[in-house]
Amino acid sequence: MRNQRNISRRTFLAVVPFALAAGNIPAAENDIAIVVRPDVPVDNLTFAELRRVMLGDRQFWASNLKVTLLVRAPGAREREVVLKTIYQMSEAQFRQYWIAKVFRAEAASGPRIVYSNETAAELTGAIPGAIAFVEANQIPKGLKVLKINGARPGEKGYPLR
Amino acid sequence: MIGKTISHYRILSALGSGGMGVVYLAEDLRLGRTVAVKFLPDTLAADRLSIERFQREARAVSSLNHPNICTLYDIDRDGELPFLVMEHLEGQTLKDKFHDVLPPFEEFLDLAIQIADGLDAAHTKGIVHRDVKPANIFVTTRGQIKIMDFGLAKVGFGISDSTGNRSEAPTAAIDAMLTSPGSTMGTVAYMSPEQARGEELDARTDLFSFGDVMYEILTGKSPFHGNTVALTFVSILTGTAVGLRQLRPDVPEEVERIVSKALEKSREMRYQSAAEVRADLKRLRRDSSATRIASDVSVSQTAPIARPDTGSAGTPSARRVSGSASNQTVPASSSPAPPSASSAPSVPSGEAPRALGRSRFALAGAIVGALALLSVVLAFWLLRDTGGDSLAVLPFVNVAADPSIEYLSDGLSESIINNLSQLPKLSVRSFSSVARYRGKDLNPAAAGKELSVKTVLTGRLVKRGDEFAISAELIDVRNDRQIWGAKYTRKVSDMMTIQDQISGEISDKLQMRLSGEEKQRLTRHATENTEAYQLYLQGRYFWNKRTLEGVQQSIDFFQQAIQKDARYALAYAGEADAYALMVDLNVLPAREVTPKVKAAATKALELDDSLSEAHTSLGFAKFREWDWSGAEQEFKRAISLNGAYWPAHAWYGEYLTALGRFDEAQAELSRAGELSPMSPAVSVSQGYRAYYARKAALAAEQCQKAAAMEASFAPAHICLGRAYLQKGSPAEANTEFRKALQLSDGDTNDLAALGLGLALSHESAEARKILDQLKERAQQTYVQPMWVAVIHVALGETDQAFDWMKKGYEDQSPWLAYLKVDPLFDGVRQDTRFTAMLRRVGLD
Repeated sequence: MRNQRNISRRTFLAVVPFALAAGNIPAAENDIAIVVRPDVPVDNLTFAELRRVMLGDRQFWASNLKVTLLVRAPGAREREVVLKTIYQMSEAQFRQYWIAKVFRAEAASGPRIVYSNETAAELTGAIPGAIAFVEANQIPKGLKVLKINGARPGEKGYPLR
Repeated sequence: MIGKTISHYRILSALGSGGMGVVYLAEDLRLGRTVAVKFLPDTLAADRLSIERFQREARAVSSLNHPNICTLYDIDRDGELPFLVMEHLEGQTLKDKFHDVLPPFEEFLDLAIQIADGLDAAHTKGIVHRDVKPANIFVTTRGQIKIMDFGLAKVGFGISDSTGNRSEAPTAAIDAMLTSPGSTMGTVAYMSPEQARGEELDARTDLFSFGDVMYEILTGKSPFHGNTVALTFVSILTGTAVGLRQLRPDVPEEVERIVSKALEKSREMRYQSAAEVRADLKRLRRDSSATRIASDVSVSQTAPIARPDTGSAGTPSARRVSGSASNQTVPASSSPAPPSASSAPSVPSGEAPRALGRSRFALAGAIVGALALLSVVLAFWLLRDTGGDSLAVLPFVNVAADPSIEYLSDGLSESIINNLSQLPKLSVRSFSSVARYRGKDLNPAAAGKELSVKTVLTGRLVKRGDEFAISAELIDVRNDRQIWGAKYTRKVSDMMTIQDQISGEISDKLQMRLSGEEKQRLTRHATENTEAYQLYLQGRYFWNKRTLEGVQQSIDFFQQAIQKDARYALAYAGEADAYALMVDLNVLPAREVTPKVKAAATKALELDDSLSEAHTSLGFAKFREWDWSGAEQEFKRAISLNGAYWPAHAWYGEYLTALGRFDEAQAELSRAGELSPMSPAVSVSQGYRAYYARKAALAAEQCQKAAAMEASFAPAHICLGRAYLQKGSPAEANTEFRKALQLSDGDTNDLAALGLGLALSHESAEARKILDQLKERAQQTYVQPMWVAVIHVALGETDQAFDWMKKGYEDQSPWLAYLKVDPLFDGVRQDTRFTAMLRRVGLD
């Protein structure tokens, strides 16, 4: 039921220009923002914590809230940045990493692949615990932008660009 | 009556008459088709209540639409006289068909499965037959079962012949039966115990009667009978049937179990549904097919057997039974052996020997039906009309580019290839050879010439709602003319109906050209579960991509297939292949993955030891474990089971290469190449064979060939690069390694290959940078230690090389299998640590 309600909210998650969605966040043309549902009980992550989340080593936000990773399909800039800065892996390594992780039963599955930022936004709004990456000037309404090492996209020291 | 028109039916001729009334052949003047018209007996026609009940029941029965149920088209009246209008059938009843002969086991299974299917369809709609017996089961000239008079026993229609349901039949009639000999006895003999006791009936009564029918078809004897109706009732209620295999020792034990379960006197102990019986029969058919192929049983077993009470010459005395249950003779041996060729029963004169029974494509699901049909049609044409002995089945074109059925484009093609590859008279190109034509707008004849075949099959596939429209065309490559073409529309949920009708026609034709065993092979199904089969096809689709992404998805699908059918041996074999691919792709240390290859292959073989694919996978696992004799045994077994399975030849060739048995390796790899001429993987294996045999020029030639076949196939460039290194052309080698790295999006193996090339090009600094990258990568993902070892060898860093070789040994690296022949280790070959390593992997 919860999912159904959330999916019905999709229409409110239209992707809007950054300035309209979060006017108090400085513009950052090349930064990649990390977005989660507002009910994710985290506002700030260190880069090391972010890596642990993305590598599937931390799989819960809270005891009853599982992390669901959403990653753009190959070819998207968001994916390139995530692989280069967070995973520090090539495409082939990224695939190899998750196959091995699932094979060893260290994760139930790899990240879910999304083919557009709109889908990433919709799913992030619909799936409890979902985390996705979007261009910082395309942040959807209704989602929370995580700070990394205390910095928001566009701010000094923000690592995803 | 003849010539008279009743309602809109013109009576043409009398088909038969008896206690059940008179049946006429008539023409439906509205629809222009011939029908059978059956009039209610006079005794019931005068009873208004019976007529009303009959009409209610007939309306329910008319809703049954199933290929194994005689369709009731209409109920009408001629004045006060009600009549039925039914499907007109050509053939004979089971009673007549097997009056003098008993069916071969395969034909029995085929017919029994159809009967179970018909009963299941009716029971699902809440309709119980109540009078299942050989006289009510019709076999058409095409071998299709039609159960007649469904539900009519309930209203007493044909009561003087069938007696039907005691609880609804006049007491006087039952009383009369109990004391009268003669025709009624035949019907009573098929009653269930609860029917004999006059209890309320449900579908399980039909299952008991079906058990009676199965027993009688197989043995020629009713399991329960007496000299009077009363004695027959006693036999049904309290008697024990003679063990079926005592009367038919040539049939499997499982048949006896199935029939015995159907004949349980307590309906709680009996089969609870026709679907359960059908499932057991289908499983038996699958398992017995496998056994038969493995044991190469002679065709004589498929011929009909003289019915015991005919006393035909040559009938084994052990199969004779006396006329009463209390006086039956049984074979002296308590453990009857299957008949040998010399003791095969004779075929009665006037009854042409049949090849295998009309094998029906009872596999549920559109795709299986279509491909089986295609396979059969193809076999027919190829072996009969064209004189052709080679075929390429191109991937079916997904006309609408519907991604949800993309796997079927390949799956249909691959399944047909696998089916037809089992025919020794036909050379069929492997799927890996034809995969490259996927999605291409091509001239089939040109493709055929490229593949060196005489005939090419092309096909198209479209999904419309829940139906698939499939078309296929067989082209003679020599003149680019169509030999055969067909179109099929298959509703996934209703496939059995159509495929059964068509397959009957085709299999009749095939009996002229294919041996029983060949036909059996063609129609052999690894699963009867449609969902499992489709999941398997999806698994194969992703496996064929041979990429990191594909391998994970293929495992998921194979595992889902296994969840749907835990006895699906081929799905386990697929899972084994997927794990094997993980070893080849260096996703994880072989020591972690190989046990899974082995477990899946072993499970597949437990279910079906005749599966060449599973023996090949098991051979691969043993090869990776350096179990040299065990691996060779499995590869040889795989090839003996299916000499057309190219991976068995390819992997065996690699095995022989590793052992330095280059000539034998050449023979196996050549055979793999013949079977899969456009497969870059086989060409790469041939390239490595030449490379390890120190024939650099030939190695380069083979690897170039592989790269030309599929430019995006990164392993071809690695192979070519190594050949160039051997030739002393490091610059060219590095170009190839860089191509591979680019193609694979930065695969670790390809990065390592470049490191090796740079080390051998005396670009040591660059090589060391790559070594550092590899070691850094090893913190997160698996890096094949032997790659690091060979770079250290190339850099002259022997101690570090042996450290990494030791790690390779701990990981059970596949590379160590080639230690004896690999030129890259020539620099350390004299080192005692190398000799020790050879010894540890069994290569000393």
